[in-house]
Amino acid sequence: MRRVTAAPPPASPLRRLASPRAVAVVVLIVGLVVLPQPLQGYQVNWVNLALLAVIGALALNQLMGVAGQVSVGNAAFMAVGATVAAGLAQHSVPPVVAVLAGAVAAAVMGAIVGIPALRLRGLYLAAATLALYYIVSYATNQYQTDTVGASGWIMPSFSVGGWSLGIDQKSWYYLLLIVVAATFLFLRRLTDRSRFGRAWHLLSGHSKAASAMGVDVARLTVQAFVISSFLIGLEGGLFAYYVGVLDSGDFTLALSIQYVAMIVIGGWGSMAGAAVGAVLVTLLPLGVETLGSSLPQTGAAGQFISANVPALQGIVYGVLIVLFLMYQPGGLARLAEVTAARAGRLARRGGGRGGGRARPATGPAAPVPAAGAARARPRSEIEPRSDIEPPAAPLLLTEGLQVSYAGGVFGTHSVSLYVLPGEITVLLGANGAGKTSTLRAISGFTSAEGARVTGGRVELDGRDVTGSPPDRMVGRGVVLVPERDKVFADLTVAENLQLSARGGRRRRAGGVGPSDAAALVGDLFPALAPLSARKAGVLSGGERQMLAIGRALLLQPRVLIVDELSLGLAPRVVEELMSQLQLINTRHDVTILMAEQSSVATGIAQRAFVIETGVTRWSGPPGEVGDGGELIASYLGTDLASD
Amino acid sequence: MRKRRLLALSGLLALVGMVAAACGSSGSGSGGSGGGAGGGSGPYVIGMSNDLSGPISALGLPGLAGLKTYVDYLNAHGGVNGRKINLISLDDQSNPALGRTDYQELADKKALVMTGCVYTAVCQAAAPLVSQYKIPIISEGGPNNDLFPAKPYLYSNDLPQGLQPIVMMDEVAALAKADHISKVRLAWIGANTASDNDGVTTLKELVKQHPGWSMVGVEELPLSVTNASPEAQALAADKPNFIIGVHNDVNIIPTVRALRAAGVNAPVIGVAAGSSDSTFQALKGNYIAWRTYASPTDPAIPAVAAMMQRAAQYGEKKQATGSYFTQGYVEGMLIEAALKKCGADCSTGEQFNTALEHLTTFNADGLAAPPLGFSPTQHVLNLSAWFYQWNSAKNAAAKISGSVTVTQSDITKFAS
Amino acid sequence: MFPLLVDSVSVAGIYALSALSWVLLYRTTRLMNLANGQFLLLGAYLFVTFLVQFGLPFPAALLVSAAAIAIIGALVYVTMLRRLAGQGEFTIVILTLGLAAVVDSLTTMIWGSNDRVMPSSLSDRTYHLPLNATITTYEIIVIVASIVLVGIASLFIDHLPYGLSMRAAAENPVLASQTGIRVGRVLAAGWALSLVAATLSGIAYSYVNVLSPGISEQLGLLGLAPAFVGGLDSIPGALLGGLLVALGQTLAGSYISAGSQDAVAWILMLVFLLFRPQGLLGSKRIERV
Repeated sequence: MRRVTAAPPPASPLRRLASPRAVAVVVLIVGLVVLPQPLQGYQVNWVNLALLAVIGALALNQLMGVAGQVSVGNAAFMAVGATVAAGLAQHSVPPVVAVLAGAVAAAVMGAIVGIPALRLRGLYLAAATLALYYIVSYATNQYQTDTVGASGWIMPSFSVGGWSLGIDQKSWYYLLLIVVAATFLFLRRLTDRSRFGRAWHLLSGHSKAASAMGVDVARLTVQAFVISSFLIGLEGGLFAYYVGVLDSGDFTLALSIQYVAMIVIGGWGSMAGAAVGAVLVTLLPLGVETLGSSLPQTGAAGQFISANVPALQGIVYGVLIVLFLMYQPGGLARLAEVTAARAGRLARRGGGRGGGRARPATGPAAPVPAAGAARARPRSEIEPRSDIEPPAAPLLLTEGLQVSYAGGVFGTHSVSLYVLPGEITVLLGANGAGKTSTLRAISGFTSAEGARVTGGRVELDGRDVTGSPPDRMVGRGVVLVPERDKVFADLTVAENLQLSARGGRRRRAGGVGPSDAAALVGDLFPALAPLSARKAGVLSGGERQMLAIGRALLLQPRVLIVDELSLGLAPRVVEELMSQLQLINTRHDVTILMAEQSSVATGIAQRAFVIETGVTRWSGPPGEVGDGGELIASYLGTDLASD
Repeated sequence: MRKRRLLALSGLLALVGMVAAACGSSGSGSGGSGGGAGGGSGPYVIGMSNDLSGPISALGLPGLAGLKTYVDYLNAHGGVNGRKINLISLDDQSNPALGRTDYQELADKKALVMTGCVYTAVCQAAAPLVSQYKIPIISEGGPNNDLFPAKPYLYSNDLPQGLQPIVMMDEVAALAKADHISKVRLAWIGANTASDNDGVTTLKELVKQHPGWSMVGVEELPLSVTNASPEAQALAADKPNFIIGVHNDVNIIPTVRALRAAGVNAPVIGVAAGSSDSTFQALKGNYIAWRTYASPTDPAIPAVAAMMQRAAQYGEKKQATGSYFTQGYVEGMLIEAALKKCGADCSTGEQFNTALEHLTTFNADGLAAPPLGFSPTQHVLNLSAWFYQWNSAKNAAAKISGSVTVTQSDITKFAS
Repeated sequence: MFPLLVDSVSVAGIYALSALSWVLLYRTTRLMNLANGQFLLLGAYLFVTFLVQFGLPFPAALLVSAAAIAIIGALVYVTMLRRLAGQGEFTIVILTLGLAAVVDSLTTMIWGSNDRVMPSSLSDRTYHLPLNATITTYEIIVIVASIVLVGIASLFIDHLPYGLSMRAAAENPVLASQTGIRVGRVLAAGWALSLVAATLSGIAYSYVNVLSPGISEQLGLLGLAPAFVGGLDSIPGALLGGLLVALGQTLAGSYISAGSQDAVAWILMLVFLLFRPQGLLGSKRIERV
């Protein structure tokens, strides 16, 4: 008998209306519309201030959270928008026009600021926005002195069409609510869905990748500044009309810090988070005052409290910034996400044990972890070699090594290899196969990129040394010459060597002796001597590699690990380096483990391992690498097969 | 999908939470609960909105402490007209938006008066609301056009900035006479702000009234003075024999030092903002500054001792550091006098306002330079100042003048 | 003109010390501490407390307050910043903004916001120089102290072994730990040094002018300008930057307007950032896109 499983009936329109999401949205809208009614005048006042702040917070979030630009200049853009609007208002320009003009003026300034942003990043840009704040501050003060004087600008009543708002808090509430909603929708439109929208997210910290993908970084960066400063200027203009009087001293550096606090507390890159952050930070003084009045007012304690409560605000949002950045960088938005994910998982599995993260690990499909599994081990489509057995006692050994990076990316899944004492071993693999991750894990260099060993082990002299920090590994005689950042670029050649010599002196017995090491470097790399006083950063590729190996030698290694020696070097230089490595190995008894993409090392190595997508695929004498199939030969170069 | 819903929900919850907190908050400050000043039985409700945590909290905190001291003293002795006083204290952080919000809050809580408000812009933001809510604002200073002619519900309990040059010129005249100087070469050095520019204009007008006098130099200083030597050197070239120096304590010290280093030894007359004891002590001879309120450290005024004793008793001694404290304290005395006039049934701002306007003579026990009072056409409490100079014999700042008062004709000429 | 130039030199010295704090931090940690001004103020207040309330003699008060602020700086690193080590300088800069708010409120709570005039322990004599210039004892001390301190800092960081360790740790902490450098300790020391330099500039300023809360912005943050003008990674550049900024302010005050004095330092900094980010003496390794 055939069992018929009926498909679930399509959701009727009524069903859709009753969906949790729709209900929430309706409740929200109704709530917002009805909000001012039960409140007293001054409470609506506070809500209006919060709404104004939301506009600025959304804008700053666009700039910092999404486009990844640093700015402490919020107050400056607000000042420009407000001052321009105020100046125009004195000449009977209609309020809506004045406010928009102020926003445009701020946007123009934003465009101007966006240009240095193309050339400066990080700290330098932050400093530039700071300078901007002070310059704007001075300019608006001068302008005020020259025009309206001490009393500041008195603003006429704000009117849209025939509707004049005056000091009616409730009318302002609805106007501001409309502006906030419009801003929300505008920004959401800008950064969602489209390829254009996704491009925004790439700006933050990945501009090189972004431009490689055809994103016009320059244009988008400037656009980010223009859009966000337009909105902040808009907020400034509305603020001026709302308060009714404007003074150039209204926009302080502390105000800029407050907006940053809003983004941090609410959640980087999250619009709803920015809005929540804006409301919280704006209403904080109210909360603090309420707290203050509910605490004892008399007695020594009471006097201390009432005298210090006003100062408490700064402490509260400062501490919140620090705590959130340290423990929950995603702010409240991420907190909500994580809580929801946990709650959802608990609900679905009825309390079963779940994984730690809200986001599933990327990479090959992650199965449901078995109960009691200490570390997740994803299946791999390529079966790791299980027959890797060292013929003699290895000096160094890894077994099933798994390295993961932050965000769930895997460097390796299961790498097994061994290094016999006195041999030169080469680790072969294409770009991204996992060579660097393996070598980092062995030498303790994992923290450099936020990596962690999450499976398998590393053994030295038969002892488990998995996860040891670099200095500990150097103490045991394992020294890595990394693929990137292999020398101190800002220090001179002499200083680079000096540091290693110092470090090498701490080494205990075994390996190359101190005077031997210095002499060795002088022998092997005489080319370095005349370059002693030069900064390592200006050396040529070959010279830098020599220095890197030289400084590694001064640390008196028993095992020298070299990652991608040949990268970017001319063949003749590579040849020379190879012969020097061979010298180091044979004459000074230093075991060598190398990682290479190409076949350059197979001439000097006694053993080869091949890694493919994070898994050891093959091992054996280097000459036989070609026999493993076309797949391997194809990316190692056909000259190998002809060896 | 779920993410957005949750964020929307959390946003809503946050909003509702905030609103609930705001609703539930019954206002702050000493004395606790807000609520109306019902006629006859409940406490009088008054409000003070000051900068308690912003850039000029050094002025706001002592002012609040002074008012609190006097209010606590009154409440401990039965209050006024048999009713206690409920002081609502709010923080405006020198932010006009909050100044306006605070006024609104006091109006919602049926206060009789709003005091505090040092910065003009902060009070000005609240000013448009007075015609609707009819609660008087007593601010500390203010621009001329808000005070002359007297505007309904707007008052000042300090010498307005527009009239300060008049008082200083009177003192210059007195000093010149004592030193037998007939040709006064007057120079002005001060902060580059709009209000100070107005002051310079007034000074130039005043100089014209004295035959033989001339205004020889006007030098502007930046808002924060690290190095005043360019301006000092420029002023030295003008060879003044009297200098008016308009800047606060922090900045007048390097200014005067730079003047002395440039070889200018003429007397410098400073303003109340530059009249703290430590400033006098640092600058010593030939620096003169005026005060409208006595400093809590002044040994020569008897009422100061009583004020300080009460400050200690009610726990506000820490903030009793300068004349801003005295100003708040005297404000308490002023409110007491107005409440007495208003009567036991005083329950609206309007009634309180009428009482204020008819407080034509107010006795501050020597804590403020007399004469003091309001009238329906005169909404400024103080029109006088005392001048002080460092006295090394007494090791303190001491008065060198009696009360120097702005005359009615001066007001007509320069203020209306 | 000459008297003005002479007056500028002592101001330049104070600016140089403030710039030094920014440069030292950058050289030893590659960071910018936007709470620098607040710590500067904290150190100066501590000094005044030790000097006046505790009655310590000047040298002792100086040493104790320097030690106190050094410990505070090291603690800040160990408790907060160490944790964020991998997360990019952006996060840390924002964190220092939060710190700024906290320290600001704390200093207001403990010491209030009134300004303090330093008790004059030295007789402040005025010396007359040729061409109508004058200079006071305090100014001479400040000039000499700033040159000496910058010299010591340069010697320490650029020529002594510990300084070498600090420079290595700043550039590449992992590689540095490979050579046996205790990176955590070294970075904490960098923070300590930077804050001590800031405190010294605050104390110097307070003697020449007044100790007021405004110096956190006026001197602490402003120190960024001479730092960038001289070169954010050049210690001797701090002196040159200080001189240029002070001179610029003086000239602007004389020939443009008093108000422009406030803005000149920042305009100078912006100009350098746009056209010569490495400053006058800095090295060309600038973070570009």
